[in-house]
Amino acid sequence: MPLVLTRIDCRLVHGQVVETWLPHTKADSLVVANDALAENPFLRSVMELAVPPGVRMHFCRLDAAAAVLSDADRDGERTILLVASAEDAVTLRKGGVRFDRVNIGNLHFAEGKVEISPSVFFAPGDFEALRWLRTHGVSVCVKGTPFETGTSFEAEGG
Amino acid sequence: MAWRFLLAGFLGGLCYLDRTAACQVMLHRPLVVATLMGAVFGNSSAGAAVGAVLELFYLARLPVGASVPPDDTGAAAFAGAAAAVAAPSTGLDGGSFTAVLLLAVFFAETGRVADRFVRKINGRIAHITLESVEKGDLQAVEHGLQAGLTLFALSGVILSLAFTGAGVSVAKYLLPNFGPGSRMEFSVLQPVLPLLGAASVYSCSRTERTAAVFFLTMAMVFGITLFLRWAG
Amino acid sequence: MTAVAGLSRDGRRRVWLRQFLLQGCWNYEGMQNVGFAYSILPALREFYADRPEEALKAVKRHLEFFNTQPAMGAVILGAAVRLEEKAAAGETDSRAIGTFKVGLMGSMGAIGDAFFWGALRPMASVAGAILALFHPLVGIAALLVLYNTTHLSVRFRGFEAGMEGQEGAIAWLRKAALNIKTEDRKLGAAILGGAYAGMYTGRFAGMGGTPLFAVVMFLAGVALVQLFTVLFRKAVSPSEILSFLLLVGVLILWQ
Repeated sequence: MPLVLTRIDCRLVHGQVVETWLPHTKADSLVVANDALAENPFLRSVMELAVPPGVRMHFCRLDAAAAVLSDADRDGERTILLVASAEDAVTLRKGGVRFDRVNIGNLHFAEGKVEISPSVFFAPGDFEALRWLRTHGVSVCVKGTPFETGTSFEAEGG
Repeated sequence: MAWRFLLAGFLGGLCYLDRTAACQVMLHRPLVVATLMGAVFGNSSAGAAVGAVLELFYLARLPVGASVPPDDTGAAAFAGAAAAVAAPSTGLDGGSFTAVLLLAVFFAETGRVADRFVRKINGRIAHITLESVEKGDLQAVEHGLQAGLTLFALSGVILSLAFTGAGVSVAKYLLPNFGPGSRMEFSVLQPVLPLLGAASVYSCSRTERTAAVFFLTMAMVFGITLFLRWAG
Repeated sequence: MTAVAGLSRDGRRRVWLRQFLLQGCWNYEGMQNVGFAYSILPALREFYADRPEEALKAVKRHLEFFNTQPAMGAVILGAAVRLEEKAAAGETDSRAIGTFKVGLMGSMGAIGDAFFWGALRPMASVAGAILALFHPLVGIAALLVLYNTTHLSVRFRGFEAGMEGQEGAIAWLRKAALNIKTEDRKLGAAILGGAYAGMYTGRFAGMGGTPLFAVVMFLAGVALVQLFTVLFRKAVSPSEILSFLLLVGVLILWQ
């Protein structure tokens, strides 16, 4: 089980990931697939300072994620994959990244979004992306930390 | 008694402010709050004794992102007051000590619900602030913040009053109903409580050497404590 | 250290002090947004003193969603002040400020949550709890001093470093090496946590009198710590365990 968690979180690497999910899943590597970040060396170097010394950190563009993940898999790493939006998760899935469960951590409030949980708000595009994921065999769970009960949306066959 | 509650409300409000809204200089920790409330109700060392155990219970629940951890400040206000009031009449026996700490859970969870509620109302305040700023009023930011602070403080004062009140009632009316026999029986659970706290620290730690270091120190200190007890 | 020309000493002091109220209006939609705008407001008032429309725009961009670990907010606040100064002087695009804050807050949150909540606070807590058994005031003093020497220095130095700009912030973060210090503090917490468990178990074991009882107590203690740790990893809350114990207690009294 090399990919231990796939998470949609607009904040990418932050406290919930480092302090709760990393130890909970016993992951030793983090893959952050985000186009903007892959091109910003300043933010990348700050993010690298945020993970514990034993955890390997990979940044990549969305289209390179599948290759990076299969490398990590070959090295026997237990990986957490982070993307910033539901659309990005769909892009990855279409690009050949295999996952059958996705966790939604934080999606910020904005005008016109619907509240799903106190820290997750869906825009119309999010509903569409998640429907696509569910019809392609991916179950979705809204959950900030492993300690929460969360809300699940099962896959609708695949 | 009235002045004691007045003081408890005031000090509790301050400690509650430190929890989220202001400073976070750890005045809201159970050890501090329980000792303080113990002092207010006449026995600071009884307060500190329950505070030292309560301090560690919820350490592993971090205030990260939108997740609101159980309210150990409120639990400590209850436990500190209860311990102080129970202590002079009966001497804080193991049974009462255990009962106070176990009952504190209820207040930790109640306080957490209140905390969430305050944060929800703050959403309204933030919304109004945004609207006023939109209209060109910069000072609205300051007013919004002050409103939020006031709300946090108010809820802190109310919770402190309610929880210390509950603490005093439990110590005065509930605990005296149990005789020495029941207290002895209840106190069998006492050794378990500090270990729950120790386990919280253990699960916060999680380095490669944690297990070795933790249990080695535990064995050493256990031996020394036992030796001192039997030798002295 | 480079001189910060734009912001007066007084303005700087005000911003620094206001950071302590970063969470004063914490809410689910914007989290620390009102707090951040409040903290940076004195600086904005100075930079845009004679340009009310731009001041308004600046305040609005700081009312966007913001959330990070509160102590680590200092470095972002400092850097944001610096960026606003540049933007006011027309040296940088004001849109970059929002991107910068959003990019930084997650990482700073991760660093701060791990260091402060996950390592320093447990360490200070256990140290305080152990010393409180000797004297309550010593325990409280230990807790407050252990935590706040580092806490306040991060608030102070982080802010200073941020005011020097991106390079200053990165240099400070590298030097502070909080992710490595996190490991040390976690180990410190483990040592103290072990001492705490040993002390309490030793006290109770001492009441029994026989060495066999003591050994049994010790092993039971180790087993319980292991059991609770496993339960915590399985996302069982301490409240649930305590409620279960309360139930057990009531059943003991019942029979």
